[in-house]
Amino acid sequence: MDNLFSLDEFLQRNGGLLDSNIWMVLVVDINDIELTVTDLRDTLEIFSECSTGTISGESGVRNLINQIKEASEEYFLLWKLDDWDNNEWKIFDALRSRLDKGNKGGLLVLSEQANNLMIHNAPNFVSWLGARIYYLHKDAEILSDEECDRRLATLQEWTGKTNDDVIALAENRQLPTDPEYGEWLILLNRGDLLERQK
Amino acid sequence: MSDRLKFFRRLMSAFEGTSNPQRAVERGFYVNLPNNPIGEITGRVALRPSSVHLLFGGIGSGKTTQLLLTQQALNELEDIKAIYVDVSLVTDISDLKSGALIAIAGLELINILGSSSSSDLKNFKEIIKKAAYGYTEYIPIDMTAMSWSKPREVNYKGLISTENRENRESISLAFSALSQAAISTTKKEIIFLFDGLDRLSKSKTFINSALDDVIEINKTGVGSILVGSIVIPYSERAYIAEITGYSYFLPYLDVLENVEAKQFFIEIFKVRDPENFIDQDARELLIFHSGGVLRDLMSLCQASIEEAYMDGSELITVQHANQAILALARSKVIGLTDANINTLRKVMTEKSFSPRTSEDFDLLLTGHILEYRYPRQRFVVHPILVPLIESMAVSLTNG
Repeated sequence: MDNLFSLDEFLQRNGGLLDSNIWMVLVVDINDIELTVTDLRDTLEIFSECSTGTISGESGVRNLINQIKEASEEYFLLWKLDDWDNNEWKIFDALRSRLDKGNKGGLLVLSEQANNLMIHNAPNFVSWLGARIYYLHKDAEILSDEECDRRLATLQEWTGKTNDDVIALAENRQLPTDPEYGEWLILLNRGDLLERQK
Repeated sequence: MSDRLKFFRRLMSAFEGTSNPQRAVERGFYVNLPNNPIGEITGRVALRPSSVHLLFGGIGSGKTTQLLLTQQALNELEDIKAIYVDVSLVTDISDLKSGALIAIAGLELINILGSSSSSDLKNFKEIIKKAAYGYTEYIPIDMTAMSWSKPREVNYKGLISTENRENRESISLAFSALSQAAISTTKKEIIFLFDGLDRLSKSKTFINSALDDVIEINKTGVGSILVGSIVIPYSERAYIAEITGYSYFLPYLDVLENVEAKQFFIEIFKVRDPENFIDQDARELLIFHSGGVLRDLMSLCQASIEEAYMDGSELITVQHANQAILALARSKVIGLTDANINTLRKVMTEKSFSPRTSEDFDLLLTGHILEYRYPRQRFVVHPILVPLIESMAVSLTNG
């Protein structure tokens, strides 16, 4: 029943297409949230091609909204919303207009329980999400060697470039911004080069 | 960035349904709504500017767009000044206090009046500003007892952040004086369009704070249009019927029974995708499964575009539309309780619905149950959910 995606597929689907006030939710096992946020923090900026601010909700909803208001980033990664109660989500819903800063939207990383509280208490915000409630399929991250080679061959065919070409482009900070190039480096175990593109 | 990515970003942005609607209007994406109450509101306001109008509607039905267009239409009339305020941007509406709308409207009047005023008006401006933002007063301590001590500092919070009910009378008086001055300065009737209050989670706050303030504002000869949730006409029916004003309902569009509604959705595709990247069959499917909810149509279109992008396709086809429909249905079904599912099944079989309980109101608010008014009033389960609810019903029966 769930919209299950690996982190790579999630980034490919969404990172590249962000061009307006688009909000989405990634539902993650509560024990994996921190690691997922760390991964996303490193890669989201590359995929979305915009400055990304990571904002914690642990000091409450009003503080989070104020931080968004003050922040200069174009895109927001919101997390630590898992301790929010019904009332915090109702306030978040009431203040929805303050999330639209006239550029790009953001991503909420939530546990399943927090997602349910959001659904029940923030109907106006949920209407912004539409179909964009994704569930992280953790094990789907790991491709077999055969699957990995197949995907690399597809990317090579699509671009007419070799693996070495792509590494050279990344090393010279000339990598095109299409999300597929980010995926390519990750498949080559050269995710470290993504940092250099910032 | 590749041309393909640029192309898909452009297409996604054309079906943006969550940004400030003014941007869509400016991009030429606006299509006239059928059976639109806004024409009626504009006509009535033009005839009697100092009147109160309540506009109710569901989430994603296009209320803000209509309000902005009403403001535009009213400001084209030479003797009316229409002021749009998204209240949720000015104050924390989750803690909306009685008097807050008067203070917010008062601040707008101060803007209109500028700095040149008589000393009386300056005093009234000060009252409104203090009421809105709060202030600090220094009260001298008894000099004989503690002559060395500093005055006691007392902080009064503003109405925009917290209530200060005892000042209500002076605020109303100040607002009245400022509104007369503003009408006289502009030589125009003033009307406020208050948006964002449909997101008040408690109906009583809408009645006791927002509506009360608007009635008070109206006593000074200033008109208002106030947006409210779809639930209010049901939960506060008696109160709404009693107030001296007009109420309107912006329903979802019945694309099955209303030819004009269907045509409206077809027009949306024509203006947002003039090159037909979304093929005709996919459009039909998306229109039907939107249930006549504008924001759901936009969500479905964006999800279809995303599917086509991932698929490597240059066109958005029925296959992509079907994937998008399934994804939105999955999102909408999250969190439904057994009782909710039973209610939805009942609406599907009995084809009627009388919302009474808070659960019923929630299903209306979240758009799981849709209310249409044209060509006739009817309630339906959102069409995107019907196959899932049917399959759940079968599972439960087979239990």
